This record gives sequence, C-alpha cells and structure tokens, in this order.
Amino acid sequence: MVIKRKVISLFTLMLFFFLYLVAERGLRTQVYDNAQLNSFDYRKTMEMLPEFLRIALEHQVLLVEKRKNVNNAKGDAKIKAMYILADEYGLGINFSDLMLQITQDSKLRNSKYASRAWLHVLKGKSDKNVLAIYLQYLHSIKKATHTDLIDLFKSGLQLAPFAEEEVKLKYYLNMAKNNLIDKTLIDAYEDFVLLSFKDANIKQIAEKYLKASKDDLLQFEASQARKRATK
Amino acid sequence: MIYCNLKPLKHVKGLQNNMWAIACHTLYKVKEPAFVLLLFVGALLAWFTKDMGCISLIGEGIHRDNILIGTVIILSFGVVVALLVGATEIPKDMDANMIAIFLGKSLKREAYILGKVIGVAILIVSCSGFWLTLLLLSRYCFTFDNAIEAMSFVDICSQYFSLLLLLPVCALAICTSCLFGDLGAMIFSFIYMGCSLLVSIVPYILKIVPKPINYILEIPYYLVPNVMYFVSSLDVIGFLYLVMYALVIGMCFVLIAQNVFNKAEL
Repeated sequence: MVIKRKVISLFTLMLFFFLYLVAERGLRTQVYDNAQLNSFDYRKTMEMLPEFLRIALEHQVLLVEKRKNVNNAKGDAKIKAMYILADEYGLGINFSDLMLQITQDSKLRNSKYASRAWLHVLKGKSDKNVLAIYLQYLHSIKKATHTDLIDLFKSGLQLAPFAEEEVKLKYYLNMAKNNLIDKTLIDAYEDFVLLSFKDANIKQIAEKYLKASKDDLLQFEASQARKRATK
Repeated sequence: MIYCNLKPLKHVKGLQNNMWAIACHTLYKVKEPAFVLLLFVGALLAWFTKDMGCISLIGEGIHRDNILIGTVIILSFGVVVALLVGATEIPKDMDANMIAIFLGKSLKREAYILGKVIGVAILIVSCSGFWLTLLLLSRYCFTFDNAIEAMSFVDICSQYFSLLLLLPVCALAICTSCLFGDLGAMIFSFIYMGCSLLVSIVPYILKIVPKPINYILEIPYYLVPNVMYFVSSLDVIGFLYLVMYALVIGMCFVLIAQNVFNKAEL
C-alpha cells in the first residue's frame, strides 16, 4: 500500500514536471523566442562582434577621411575663388582672402583655415583695402566665442614655423585667455585703418567681399569657367 | 476567542470534510476594517496609474507592449498583499489553536492546506481583479486620449491573465508559512519573489553564453517562477500555457506544503 502511494506520488511529480516543462517551453517560445528575436541570434552576433567592430571602425575612418578631403577641397576652392574674385575686382590678394577666411571660419567655427590665415597675417602681408574690409567684419569676429579664439591661436601655435610668429601667437593666446583679445584687436585695427585709409570707400568694397564670401564654391566654378571662356 | 473565530463557520455547510469550508473561512478576512483600507489603497493606486502607458519589455518594433504600467503596479501590490496575508494564515491559526479544531473535525491536512491556498488566492485575485477593473474603467471614463480604443479585447484579457501570477504567489506564501514562522515566511517569500524577478533575464543570457554555462544557469531558472511570462502579451495558446504554468507551479508549492504539514507535529 505504501509502495503504491509512493509510486503514485512519483508519477504525479513527474507529470507535474512534464507539464511545467511543456508550459515553460511554450511560454519561452512566445515571450523570448518570438519572430523578431529569432531573426537576431545573440550567440551568432557575439561571435561576429569583432568583425562587426572592425568593419564599423573602418567605415568610420573612411568617413572621417572622406569628410576631411571634402573639407580640404572646399577650403582650397574657397581660397582659389577668392583669388579669382580679388583679381576681378582689382584688389590685392595677399591679405584679403586670408582676412575673409578668418571671418568665414570664425563664423563656421573651423579654426583650421583660420589658423593658417593667421600665420599669413603674422608674416605681415597686408593690404589697405582689405584691412578696411576686415574692419567691417570685426563685429562678427567679436561675436566669436572666447574658446574659439583660444583654439584658433593654439592650432596656430602648432603650425607656427618661425620663432617670431610663435611669440606673437603666444601673446594673442594670452590675450584671448584673459578675455582681452576682442577689445585689443579691434582697437588696434580701428586705429590703424582710421589713420591710414581715411579716403577708402570702405562700404563699397565690403559689399563686394560680402557677396563673394556668400557664394563660395559655385561662384568659384562659375568664375573659373568664365575665365576659361575669356581666355 | 475560539468561539468568536468559529462564529462565521456556522454559515458554511459541510465543514467537516470540505476544504471549501476552510477557503470560505479565509474569505471572512474581508470583513476586517484593515482589509477595507487595503481595498481603498488599491483603488487609489488604480486611479493614479490610469494615465500611464504600456510597458515595453524589449523595445520598439516588437509587439510586447499591451500590458499597462498600471496593471504591473496593481499586480505588484497584489503580490505584496498576497505574501503578507498568505504568510500569516497558518501561523495565526496555530497561535489561536484554530488548527486543532479544524483537524479535530476529521478534516484532512491536505484539504486544509489546499483550502487555505484556494481561500487566499480567491481573496487576492478578486481584490486585484477589482482594482484592475477600476483601473480600466477609470482609464475608459477619464482618460481623454482615446487610450482605451487602442486596447483590443485580447489586450484587456492580457491584463486579467496577468493576475494568474497571484496563484503561485499565494501557494508560495502558504508553503513558506508551513516551513517557517509568519515573519520568516514573509522574508523568505519576498526574497524568493525577488529571485523570480531576476531570473527573467536568464533566457536572454542563455542565448549569449556558451553551452557549458548554459546548463548551469538553467538549474536556478527552473527553481523559481518567471514573472516575465505574466506581464507579456501572448496569443490564445500562450494563455493556455500561462494557465498551465501558474497552476503547475501553484500545485508544486501546495504539494510541498502538504508534505511538510503532514510531517509536522501539531
């Protein structure tokens, strides 16, 4: 009798276990292994993860490189465009494009070309008219953030080939760090411009350059085509 | 004292050999003032959670979001109440010597345990069902973003099917109250339910880890119920599986409780 009861208990236990397994498996299939999850195999994904990472990194590197190339091309195109436009308007180019570049790049927060331009500025290649134009842009430069200016001078320091330029850049960097850069620069340029170029038709030239700075690449291509046609 | 406790039993027919009588005796807890307060708190919970959305257990793109957050909160409250009520049932009867009276009336110990489980389960499930109905009604009447229109009949059924979790929880509470005292039973039950919450991530881990660790993880997984199943959207077969799952786990706890209670010296 006792053995019979034990057998029945064992049988009941096994039945319960079987039912539990059936229910659990059915629920697991519905809850954890549904269609969307089946299409995403975790184990396989984990095995392929290094490959995924490698491809993703390569893709990222390619993207960065491509973006860099595009930016370089755009920058070069801008400079070329400004040279051509400066020729067309009969303006000196040594300083003008660079000053415009500073203003544009300050607005775009791209300190790379700005620092390059600063180097040229420090070499002392200046042009009367363009200094006057720069005066027009001073207010927009003034709006450039404090940190932008610091970054600009820092990157300029990295590129500086001569000791004299390095000293100047360090001086500007210190001024920027102490929030003196805007006032000092503006004061200096204002004095310089007002003393030297009283008769210059500042507004007219500024408008021309403003227009030139707005249409960068397309205008460059158009002007190139025009130049080729005239030749 | 004993006489007072036995008073409601006079209205129950067939007391001697009927586990339903024990269940009905457990149900008389409804008349306690504290229980009315509990109902009020649950109703407040239902009211305050009516504007909440649905839970998304995995993420976007997977249709797993038809269980309301309010339902989960009510269910959690129901689990807490079930553990508190169930864990004190048998120790309370023992303290008041009620158990001697019950078992003295040729009532089998197995029937007593089963009656207790059924009584607590009916009590808690009906209370939680009441709160859930309040939640859905208040959602229907007072939520103005047409939330109820998005809920199909299956969605509403899913809310009620989630209450099946309370069956194994009640059985667990009664089972632990046979093993420990009332306080020990409460603590153990809460820890056990916490483990069952944790174990719901095991199937995800099983898909990631390599084979030998799989089998090690499967062992604790089968020792505790998976709460995730009760708050997931399922189809009709899934609901059948869920009922089976809840009943089997509940019966396992009942069997353990009966086994322990049979061997206990009262």
